[in-house]
Amino acid sequence: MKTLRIAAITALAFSPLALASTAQAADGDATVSVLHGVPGATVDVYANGKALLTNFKPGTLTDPVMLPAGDYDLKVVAAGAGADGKAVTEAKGVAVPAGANITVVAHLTADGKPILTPYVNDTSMVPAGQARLTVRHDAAAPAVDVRANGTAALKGLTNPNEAKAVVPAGTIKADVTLAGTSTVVIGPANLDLKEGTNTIVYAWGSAADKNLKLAVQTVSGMNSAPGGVNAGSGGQAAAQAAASDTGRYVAIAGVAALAGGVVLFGRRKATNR
Amino acid sequence: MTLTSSRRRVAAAVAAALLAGTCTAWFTRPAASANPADGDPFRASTTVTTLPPDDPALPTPPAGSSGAPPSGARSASGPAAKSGVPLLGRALPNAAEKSSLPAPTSFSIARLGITMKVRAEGVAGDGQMALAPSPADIGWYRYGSRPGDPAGATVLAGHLDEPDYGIGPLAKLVKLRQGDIITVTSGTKKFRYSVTSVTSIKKTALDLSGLFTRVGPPLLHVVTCGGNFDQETHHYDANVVVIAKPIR
Repeated sequence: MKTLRIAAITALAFSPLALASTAQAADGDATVSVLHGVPGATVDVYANGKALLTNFKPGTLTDPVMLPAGDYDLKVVAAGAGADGKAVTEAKGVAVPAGANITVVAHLTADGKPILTPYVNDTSMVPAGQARLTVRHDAAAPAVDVRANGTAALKGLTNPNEAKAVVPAGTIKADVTLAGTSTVVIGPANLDLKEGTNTIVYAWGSAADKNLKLAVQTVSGMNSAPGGVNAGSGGQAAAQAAASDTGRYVAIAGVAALAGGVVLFGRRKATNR
Repeated sequence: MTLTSSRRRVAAAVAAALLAGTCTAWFTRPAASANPADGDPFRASTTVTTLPPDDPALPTPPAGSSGAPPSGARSASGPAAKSGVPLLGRALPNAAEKSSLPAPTSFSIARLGITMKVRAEGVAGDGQMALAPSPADIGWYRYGSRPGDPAGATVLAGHLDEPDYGIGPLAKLVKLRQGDIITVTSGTKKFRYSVTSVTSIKKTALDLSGLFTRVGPPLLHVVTCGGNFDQETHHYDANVVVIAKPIR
């Protein structure tokens, strides 16, 4: 249901793009990014037997590309091993729904085995002045808490799950602790949560190998307009407009009185004569 | 006898004069107050629905067309080189690149003798655009576009009036005519805009997503209040919206 709504929104949003480029079924496309979160292995990634990424290094996040919606067989092999090389990890029939914004992450499971996890990025609108923060646990590590400015914001997150929140835009100081403790395992790092974006933070690496790290992805375009512009509270401008009307009447009366006075003066003169 | 009749005549003269004067003044009034410069030509030169016609129905720019800043990922992984350029699919324009242009600092309209300091503003507690407290200053919606950006509206808005301050410079906005020049300065850079329309729009009818759009052609939107003032709520019921396009 939610996916459908996201799909509908993104499809609408993309329609200008669809017109601009080849009008070829862009409605049926999905936006896909790939993150490499397996420490130590430079790899090639194949989609349905075709090279999607080569010489892909750990910690790298691709720019998003549009791919036709459908099911994809994804295979990660050691760099140069070829489409038929031994899989570091693979995932068959990964659903890429039309209009969705997806990040596929190659990462370690909680117990340290490589795996591919596709995530659907939440591109629903956020209120003006706000940003969405998404945190994904893609590390060989136990449950963690994510602290924002020293306070636990997202608690008990486990691999490969995500947690998200809509928060005021701005820079936060974030770190990751073992769940329920103040033992910092990653960070602190300053995160610039830009207004109208979904800032997605990935915790990846391995606790045992002491190479836990953060990767950050920003998906934009979720901004909405403020509720209005309330740009006057004195009423003086309105009062002045009204006063200038009153002033006109006063002037009219004055002119009339003056005219009357002139007539009167003239008449008196005539009478006296 | 002479006195009373004289008085009567005087009274009649005064009454007649007043009546005549008032009538004359009254009849002259429409010509004076329907000064065309204050209303109709603007409206005529204006798209009545206002706001750029190419504003999208949705305020959504390509959601997700954006940007995964690879730099962020790289910095997380050390010097990670050029890996990660997808070979399949169609690359998307990286719309999320943060504008490197400076924020606007000064706003002026030479013909109206207006110069105002620009303050960066966000969103107020009630969800409306936050504004500089004084009508002497104008607020810039800092989440939107900046002068010089390739797309979207730079939105500047300020109070028409305020109980302590009185009437601010923006009360003169309604006097703008098509083609008038507005200058916005960002630090040392000057950006000149040519007024294309001035419209008073009921707040209930205002297209906010169009007003604050971040897509479409680069434009300047200058906003203040107008219309009728509600003494109880202390709100005006309309916004005056000036749309101006950059002069290249």
